[in-house]
Amino acid sequence: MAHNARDNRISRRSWLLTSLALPLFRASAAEDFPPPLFDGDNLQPVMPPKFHFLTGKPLERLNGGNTVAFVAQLSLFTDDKHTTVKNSPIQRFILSQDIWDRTFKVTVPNFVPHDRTGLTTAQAESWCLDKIYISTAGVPKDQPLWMRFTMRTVHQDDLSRVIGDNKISLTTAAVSIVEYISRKAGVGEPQWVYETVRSFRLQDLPKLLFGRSNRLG
Amino acid sequence: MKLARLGVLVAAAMGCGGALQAGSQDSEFNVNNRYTVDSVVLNTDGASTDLSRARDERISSPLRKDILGIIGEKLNPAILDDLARRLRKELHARAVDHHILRGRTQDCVQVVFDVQVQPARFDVAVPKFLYSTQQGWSGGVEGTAILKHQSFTVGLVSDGDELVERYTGITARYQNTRLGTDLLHFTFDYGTLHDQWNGSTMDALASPQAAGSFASSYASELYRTRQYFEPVLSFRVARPLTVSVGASFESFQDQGPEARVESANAGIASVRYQQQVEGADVLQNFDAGYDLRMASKSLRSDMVYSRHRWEFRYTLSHGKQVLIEDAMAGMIMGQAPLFDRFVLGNSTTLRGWNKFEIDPFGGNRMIHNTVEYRYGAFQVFYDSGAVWDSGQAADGRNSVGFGVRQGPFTACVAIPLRDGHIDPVFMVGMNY
Repeated sequence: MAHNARDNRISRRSWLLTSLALPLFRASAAEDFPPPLFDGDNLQPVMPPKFHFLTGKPLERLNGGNTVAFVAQLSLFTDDKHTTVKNSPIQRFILSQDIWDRTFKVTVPNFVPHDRTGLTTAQAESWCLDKIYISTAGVPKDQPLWMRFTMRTVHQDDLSRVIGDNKISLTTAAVSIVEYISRKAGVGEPQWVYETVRSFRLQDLPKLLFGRSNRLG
Repeated sequence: MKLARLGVLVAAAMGCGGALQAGSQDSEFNVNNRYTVDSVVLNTDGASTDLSRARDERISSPLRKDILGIIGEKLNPAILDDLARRLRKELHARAVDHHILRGRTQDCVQVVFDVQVQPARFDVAVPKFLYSTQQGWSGGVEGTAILKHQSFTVGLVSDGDELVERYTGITARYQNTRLGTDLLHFTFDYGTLHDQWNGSTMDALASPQAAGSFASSYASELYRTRQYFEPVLSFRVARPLTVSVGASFESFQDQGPEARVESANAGIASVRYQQQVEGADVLQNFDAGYDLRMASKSLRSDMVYSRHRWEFRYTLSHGKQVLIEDAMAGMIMGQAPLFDRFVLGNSTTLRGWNKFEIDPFGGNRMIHNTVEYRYGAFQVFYDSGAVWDSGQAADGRNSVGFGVRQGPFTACVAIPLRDGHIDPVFMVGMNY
């Protein structure tokens, strides 16, 4: 009897492991979002209305006149959610807020930097989200797919590396971003992960036009 | 893992003409870079200092100069990052962030550096380490635990350079640099020391002349141990002027067979004036001070005396060149213990001379001057001074020397100027 009771008891080590692992599950848990929009060539996520990335600590830093950068990426998976079919390029958004008129400036630092100034909070968020899409070239139209959206802030220490530097060559800068993106988000570095609720097939999605004029690349 | 894979893909994308633009800077993207900086403020633990109006002495001159250099210029976040990094290093802070606020006028901004103080840290330091071919080794090591504005220091010391005696033992210090206000500091020093005496001092005190006049008139007997504790309050009256008051309770055990314990309890006071003047290329430092130590029967002191000491130091820096003028004088009235008597002929005064040759038990009158010129790491100096007892004639002495100084490390050769022969002394060490 005593032996059985011992078997059924949860050891202190198990409690410890469970309590340590719990925050990790919470951190990696993805929220759901509906099937994406499809214009025949590209997929664009439909973000839930409650999604806002200009909040919390990043917004505090922007209010203080600092530059804040975000990186975002879309991924397509097969229906077992383990095999990646395709990743989009990582999109970078560099934001700052005018200390006097409180409007935002958003820059997408590509070969030809693309920016907008005088934006409200909602306009700035919307303008960034319009730039996030994934090409479906090479993706079978009848394959069941899942989409994952990942977005996070860039830590202040990594800012110059992520947005580039005069002294850093393209190759080096690229490595810096790899290093950055491979790192776990730290305290105060928000990260958002969304996944489609159900799988979808390209052939089933209605073809819509969405912000093609704003698209880059 | 997933993110890592994403990263690799991004790297590949960039390698074939990806998205990163070489030459981009944080400042290029910040919409506030069109505004002009009109002031810079440092926030530390609730206290705020406008650096354009007041000096924060924890910040070095070059850094202060660079911080003030952004005033009147367009905002450059990259420069702010660099300044924050340097501030963090100099202030030993946990972190230094920056933000901007609206300036006094339209199109101007105020830069604010927010310093997050380390809640606790531990430092180990070597406050002095010296080898002199004349006095041998002297040195100390101490560990300091710092909790916000309070610090606790415990150290080991063995110093045969500073005083007539070689003292060896343990020292401890409690310091509070913010006693309700930044202007009020409190320090409590404690030490328990064992003393050793040079043969010259023992011979001189044992001589019939000394037994008849000197020992009974001016100084204590030799002692084998001494202990002290010294609470001091310092108040910054105005930015360059600090006034300190406190007490010093010192007891020492005679070397004689009776092992009598005597005390030298004194009220202490000091006034210090420190001013820094920055020109375009020139930096001037003025440091003047007066110290008073007054031992009296009312503090249950066996020895009754007053000790006065004045010092003035002027430093002129221009690029790699530094010129230092340091003058000091001292006077003791009454019968003072040997550790309070003035000594010349050590690693900082009349360098090259042997302090036991000048006066084996120090003097109650002293005057000294040093002129030093440094160019980069190279230094030359000229010392002159005299130490004597009241009623005696002052015998002036001079010495010259040269050496190298790099950071805290110094190595030099000092030559006493006297007729007949040259007897150079070599000194090497740090922080002396």
